[in-house]
Amino acid sequence: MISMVGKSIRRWWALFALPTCAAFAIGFVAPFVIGVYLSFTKFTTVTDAEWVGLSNYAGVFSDPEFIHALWMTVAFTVVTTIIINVAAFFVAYMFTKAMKGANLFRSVFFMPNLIGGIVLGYIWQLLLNGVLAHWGRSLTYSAVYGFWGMVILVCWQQIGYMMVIYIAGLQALPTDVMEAAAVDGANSRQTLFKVTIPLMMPSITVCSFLTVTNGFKLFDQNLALTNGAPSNMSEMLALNIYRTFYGRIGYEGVGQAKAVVFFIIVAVIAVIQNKLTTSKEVEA
Amino acid sequence: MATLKKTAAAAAAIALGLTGLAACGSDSADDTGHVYYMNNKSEIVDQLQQLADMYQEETGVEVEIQTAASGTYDSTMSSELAKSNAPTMFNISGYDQFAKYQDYVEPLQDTDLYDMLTDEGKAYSYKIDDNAYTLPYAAEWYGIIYNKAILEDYCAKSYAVIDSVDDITDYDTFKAVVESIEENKDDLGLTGAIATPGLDASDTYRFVAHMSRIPLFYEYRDNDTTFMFEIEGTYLDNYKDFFDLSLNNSPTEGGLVSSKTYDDCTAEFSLGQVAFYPNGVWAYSNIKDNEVADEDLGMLPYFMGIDGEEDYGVAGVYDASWAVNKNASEQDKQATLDFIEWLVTDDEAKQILAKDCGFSVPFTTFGDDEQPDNPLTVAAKAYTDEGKTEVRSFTIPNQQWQDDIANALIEYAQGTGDWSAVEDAFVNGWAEEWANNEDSLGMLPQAESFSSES
Repeated sequence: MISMVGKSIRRWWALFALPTCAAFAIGFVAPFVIGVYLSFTKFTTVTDAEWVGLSNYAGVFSDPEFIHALWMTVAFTVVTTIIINVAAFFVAYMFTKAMKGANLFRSVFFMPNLIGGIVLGYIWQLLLNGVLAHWGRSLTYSAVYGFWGMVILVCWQQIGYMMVIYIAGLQALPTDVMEAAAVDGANSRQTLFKVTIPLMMPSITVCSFLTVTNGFKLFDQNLALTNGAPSNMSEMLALNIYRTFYGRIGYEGVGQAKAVVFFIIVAVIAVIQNKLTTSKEVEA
Repeated sequence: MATLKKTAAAAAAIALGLTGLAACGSDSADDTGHVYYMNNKSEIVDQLQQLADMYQEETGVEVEIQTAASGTYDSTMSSELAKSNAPTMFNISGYDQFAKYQDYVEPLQDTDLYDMLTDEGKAYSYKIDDNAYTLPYAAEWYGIIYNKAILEDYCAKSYAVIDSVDDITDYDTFKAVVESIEENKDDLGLTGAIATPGLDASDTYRFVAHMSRIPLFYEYRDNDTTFMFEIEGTYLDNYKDFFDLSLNNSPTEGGLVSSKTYDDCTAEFSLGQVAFYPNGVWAYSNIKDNEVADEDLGMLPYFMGIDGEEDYGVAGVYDASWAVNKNASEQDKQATLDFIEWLVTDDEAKQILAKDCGFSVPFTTFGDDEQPDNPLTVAAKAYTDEGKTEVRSFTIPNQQWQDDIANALIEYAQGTGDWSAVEDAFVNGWAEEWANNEDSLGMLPQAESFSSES
């Protein structure tokens, strides 16, 4: 038997879903479709687009700086994903053990996340340039400096955030399994690698997904810290797209095509990563 | 009861769905038309609003002002122009922006307004064939700003190579003075002779958008033209000399210039730590109320050791221009033209533009009393009164060209790249970017005879 509420819902669900669906259509579906359409056109504003077929996409792959930015981004993502997750897990592991002031430290580690990327970029630019000034150099000296500068910045910013997710995961671990491991005589190292980490895979999936996509999409920090210097060698994909779109008149379409390619790359990698880590998830 | 609930729920859902759309409806303009101005100068928002209110009160015509600062201007314009209530009047700075909005600009050469422009103003209006599309509204000048007090102090010393600042009339003298000041900077209480040639993104425009136009101007002069698709960079060595001079005699070492921002470099000058600062009249807003008194501000032309440069004054730039949206309705266009005419003819409006905004407006309707109080503008205009022609800022291709030169300059300054990369970006980049422009825009600036222009 269906209750009164259930009946009304069956009758009226479409009406109640309408605002959300409309918002989704207006805020996501329409811009996405228009965006893909624009990548096949030459345009200044969205209303004066003129169909040019695939020529924008030809422009994408004939641009050596885009390819360079792509590899730079891949390297950056690999490095930051590993460092952030290992460090965040370690910090979370420490803070879930009995430790004085753990709550205070959690807040401290989480703080950097509350500061905007541009602001962080400028702060770290000052800091790093201040240090490099001892050798009469600055961040723009070579792309290596810019690369590691960004790695430091992003790790500093994101470790705290991932830490929070890991802490939540660690606190939800079933204690009986741990006790069983202890009773069976597993040492702490065995417990960590054979019990804790496999049980933590759902958190690891989430965190690695976030760090991988954040690494690919990095923009603010790149813009504020190096702005691509020297000679666009420290430029990552998002910044390259932005510069293509606004740097030259008539390149809006190429910029848009790069954005579509970028979307596909990020989507494919995120799906693969999700599959890989999800497949390792186990039930306690 | 159930019906009541249902009705209420339905009403709530519809209300939720529709409130977002309600704001989209706009009242249609009446017969008088209205003005919608898209401004890109964030520093004059208040003054523009004041002007809009005054005009609205006086004539009843609605004037709407929206401001999108330079970094967001193009993106705002892209979305605003696509709307049914698009800007009727907007800002154009630079040729690439003009080209970008070429489908939206109304030809203005037959209007009374165009006739009111000064000759320089007309020369800087962007044209295609016989049509002129833009109205420059702010003339600005750039050169080497100097601190008279420091130079007077220097001239009184035994090691001074000049008797007074008036002796600096060519590059050799300028260079000798700079090097002598640098050598004795401790005695003079300075940190360097010239402000740091900062190459942070906020400061590169001084070198790639302004100083780069000096060798360009003289190359055009030699070729008697106002536009060339390909250049040779005849005077790039002079540009290099000047850049080297700044680099070697500034408070900052080469490896660090790329970390110096516009504010850092301006501060060196405004705090009286350096004698020279190559920049334009707009820097006054950052210099004033610091250690340099207004009466101590002077401006020299860019001396680079180019033949014949002593006949020219400081460089002028008339980048900021108004354009009228040709897709606006006839009433709106007329209303916009009337508004602009009011801006440049009404006494109160003129005062606001000249004094509060600090613009030297290149319209003949502006008398001597309607000029900005900026001492740098006064110094710059003095060269014209002396009978010297101002160096004209010819069109440069686009942001990409500037960025490429800036990148090469950074590498040169910090010692990781050669000067040849700068030359390459300047000369080959020029042809490349114009080819790009021609490709995507289907047009290039028109070349005229150089001598007829100046």
